[in-house]
Formats: sequence, C-alpha cells, structure tokens
Amino acid sequence: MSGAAAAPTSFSFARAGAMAVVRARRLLRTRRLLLAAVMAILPWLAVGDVPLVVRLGALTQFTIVGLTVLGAGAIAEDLDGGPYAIAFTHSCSALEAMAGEAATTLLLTTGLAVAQLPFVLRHDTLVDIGIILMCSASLATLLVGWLAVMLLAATVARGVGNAIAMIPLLTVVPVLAGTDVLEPLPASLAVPLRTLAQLLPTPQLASEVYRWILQGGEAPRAAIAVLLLSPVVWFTVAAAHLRRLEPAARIAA
Amino acid sequence: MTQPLRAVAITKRYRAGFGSFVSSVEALRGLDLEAEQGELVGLLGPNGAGKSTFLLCAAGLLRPDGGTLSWFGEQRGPLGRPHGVAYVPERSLYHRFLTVREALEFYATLHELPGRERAARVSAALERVGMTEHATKRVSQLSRGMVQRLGVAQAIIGRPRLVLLDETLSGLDPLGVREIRELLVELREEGVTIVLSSHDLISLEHLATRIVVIKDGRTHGTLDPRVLTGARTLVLEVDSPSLAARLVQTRWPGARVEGERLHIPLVAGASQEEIVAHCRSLGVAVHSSSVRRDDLEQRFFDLIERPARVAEGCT
Repeated sequence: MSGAAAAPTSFSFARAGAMAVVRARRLLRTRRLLLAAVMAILPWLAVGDVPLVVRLGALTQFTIVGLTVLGAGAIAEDLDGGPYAIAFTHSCSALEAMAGEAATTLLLTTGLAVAQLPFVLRHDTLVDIGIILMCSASLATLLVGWLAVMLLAATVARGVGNAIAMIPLLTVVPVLAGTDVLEPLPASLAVPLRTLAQLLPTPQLASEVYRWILQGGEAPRAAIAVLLLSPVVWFTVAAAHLRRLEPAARIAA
Repeated sequence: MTQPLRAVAITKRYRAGFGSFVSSVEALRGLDLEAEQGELVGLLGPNGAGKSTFLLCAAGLLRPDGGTLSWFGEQRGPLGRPHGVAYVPERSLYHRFLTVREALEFYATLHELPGRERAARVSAALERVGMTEHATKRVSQLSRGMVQRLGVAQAIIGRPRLVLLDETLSGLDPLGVREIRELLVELREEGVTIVLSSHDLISLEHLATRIVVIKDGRTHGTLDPRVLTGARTLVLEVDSPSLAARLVQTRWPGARVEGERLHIPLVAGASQEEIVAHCRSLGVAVHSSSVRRDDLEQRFFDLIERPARVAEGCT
C-alpha cells in the first residue's frame, strides 16, 4: 500500500460531481424535492389573471421558497453529521464540497422554475423571448445569490435551523433595507445593518428589475449591481469561511 | 525514511459560547507522539484522556492550538490537508441513506479513480472487511460492528500510508475483532503505519508494536508489548516486607520488595496457598495476597497510577 495518491492541488469536477450526486440522493430520499415542488407550484392555484410583471414576481417568490426548502441544510447536514469530515480525508476540498451541493440545489431549483413557466405565461400568447431571457437571468442571479447566503449561514450556525431561519429573513431583509425601520436606532448600528440588508439579494430586487425590463423607466442600478455581485461575493465569503472551519469542529464539540 | 506521523507538544482546547459566556475544555495539554513506517502504535488511556481529539488533529480534521504536527516529514499549514492519511471514526459519520457499496463508490470517486479501478477497489475493500454480503444494505441499517467494518473499508479505499483508527475494535463481535486484527496486521506488513486507539487490551497486546499511554491530554508513558512476559507474581501485604523477603529468599530467590509489598514470582511447583502457608510458618504476618500477571493490563494500571513525571520514558 505504498504509492498514496499525489496531493490534489486543483479543483476537481469529479469530486464536486460526487458531492452533487450525493446531495441529490439525500433530497430525493428525504422527499424534500417533493415538498419544494408542492410549495412552489401549489400557490399558483391562487394566482388569477394578473399582469405579467406580477406573475414574474410570484414566480420569483415561489421559486425562492422552493430553493430555501431544497437548500436547507446544504453543507450544514454534512458538517454536523460528519460526512464532510470523512470526505475531507478523501481529498475533497471545501470548495468542491460546497460547489457540488450548490450545483444540485440550483439544478433542481431551475427545474422548479421551469415547471412554473406554464403558469407564468398562460395568459400571454406572445412574449418577447429577449424579455424572457433577461427576466430569467435576473431570477438566476437572485437564486444563486440567495443560495450563497444560505451556504454562508450554514457554515456559521449549526444544524438545518440556520437554513429554516432564511425563510423569515426573506421578509425581514426588505424591511430592514428601507429607510424607516432602523431610524430609532443609533446611526452606528443602523447604518451597518441597513447596508448589510441592502447587500442581500431579495426577490424585491428582482421584481424591480422585471418592472424595468417590462415597463421601462430608469434602470434600478443598485438592484442590478446587488443581483450581479451577490452570487460571487457571498459564495466567495461562504467558501472562504468553510475552508477556515475545522472539518470536525461540529462533530467533536 | 521520514516519519509518517510526528506530533510535538500538541495542545487543543474546545470552546463553546459567545463573549463572556465562553466555556472551554482543555483536551490536549502537550501531547507528543511519533509513528515510524510499518508501526502499529496503540493509544491507551482513560475516557476523556484526549485520544480521539488527538486522532482528529492527526487526521487534519481539527486544528491544534499549539505544537507541531508533521506527516511524512512535511508540516502543513493550519488549514492544510495531510495526504495519504485515512481516518476511521469511532461512530458512523457516513451518509446514512447510501448503501454500503454506494458509500464506498462515493469515497472512491473522491479519489478520482477511473470506473473500472473504482469498482475493483470497492469490491476488494468489501472483501477485506468481510462485507461483500452486506454491500446492498443501507448505512442506516448497519449494526455498530458493521459500521466499524465500513469505516475500515472506506479508510483503505484510497490506499493510505497512515491509518488512524478511533476505537474501531469496539462494538465488533469476537469474529469481527479477529478479522479486523488480521487486516491490520496485513496492512502493517504492507508498510502502512497504523495508530489505533482502543480499550481492548488483549488486541493491543497482540497488535501493537508500541503503546502510548495518554492521560489528561498528555503522553503519560510508553509500553512495549514485546517485553511482556505473562509471568505471574504473588503480591503479599505483610509486616516488615524487607525482613520477610530475606526470610523467604532461601526458598524463592526471586522474592523482592516493591512498593511496600512482597513480590514472589510464581514458578512451577509453588502455589499461592503453599507460599502463604510457608510465610506464616516463618512468622511473617500476611494481611492479604493476590496474584498479578505481567500483562498489558497490569503494566497499564501500574503506569497510569504513577505521576506523569515518573512515568515518562517508562518502557
């Protein structure tokens, strides 16, 4: 048993793929995919004949709820249960583990979004493909950004509870990002809190972009910037934090 | 040849809580350990001594607070991964929803093995740990003993040069213990270095080339199983042990005083009752008598009861 494998130095798609497959197996096994599908598609029964921009907003809200259900526990379950530590001893890096789990979650969420398209487009006989692509791109950046925030939360707090806490956060963040709510607080606390809330990707930002795409007007530059930067920034922060984390810290404590 | 594992003055403290509510436990307080190629080092110590923490540090899964760890002569950074090092945890840390074969295929994939070699390695690993018949069982359905076998299988799948096993022999039935012991001997003969934490003294006595005793997060001493004779000694609690020793030495020349007690080697033809009767006939007041065997258990108890400074370097 000499000849141990040479030290892997670069990102391995094989390892990330293996992590992705195992994540998909877990989501299927725990019926979480089924739950996410129900939570994303069932609300459409209550959506009536409303303008396309409203239906796109609904698509975003329902999809992000589905993503939150699917992404709940991504990385966190492996960190707490120990599989991450064992994968680590088999040369899997933090980035590979996180990328693998994120890929599965995003792929399945994309499926959820596609499954909702008939509901989104049912009252429109002709929709500009360019508009659909631009809206899809906005939705995609929002989903990746939100998942990256979820992954960061998973590396910070123990258990799937951190991901479940993301659902109320969907409501709280837009409120905090406004100007009024934090007004009574001292500026030293209010400003950083508001800035942080404004840097988080929320469905409201995507809705602003849809409105601009469909109805014109002044481009929501801040929303576009946050949506575009969020996936990169938050995923980098999450990956860096996971890399700093001791793989066995949560199982040994 | 560089040492597969060298640990010098390793310290580790677990912390929990925030701000002024932080509580901490000092798990390792300057542990030293070296393992040479092909050696099987046993880790022995009371519960909470720091064995598992040390193995997690040695596997690169916990970051020591102090000291230096090197693998095959190389030191890794605080976040570095040691390569060629496998770890078998005490409890199941595997994906519970996978079957045994799927779990092993997953670990083989992480090593980027091509399809055919991956399948061959998985089958070989299953065979070596005697789990071929259980390959289709889910990990969640495995007994503790089977989980331990799976742990060994996943460890050997990447052909490591250093294997760290945490209480792997516990939970196994006698047949399982024998099979895993045989596997560990095979691995050692192949040049793999093994560090095994266990409370199974019999297995350690048979397997280990060296046993490191850990107590209170420190290396407390070292035992060499090869010098264990298995000889039995009668230990007598008597008044004036020195005088008693001189009296009985005419018949049992090996009699000696150790720790205020009279020790008489039990050689062929002398029974415990006969020796006690003879002592009493010489006027020696015998308060108690017990037979001790020069085995790992006895050496361990002798060592663990001594202060660390005295025990250091003990072989």
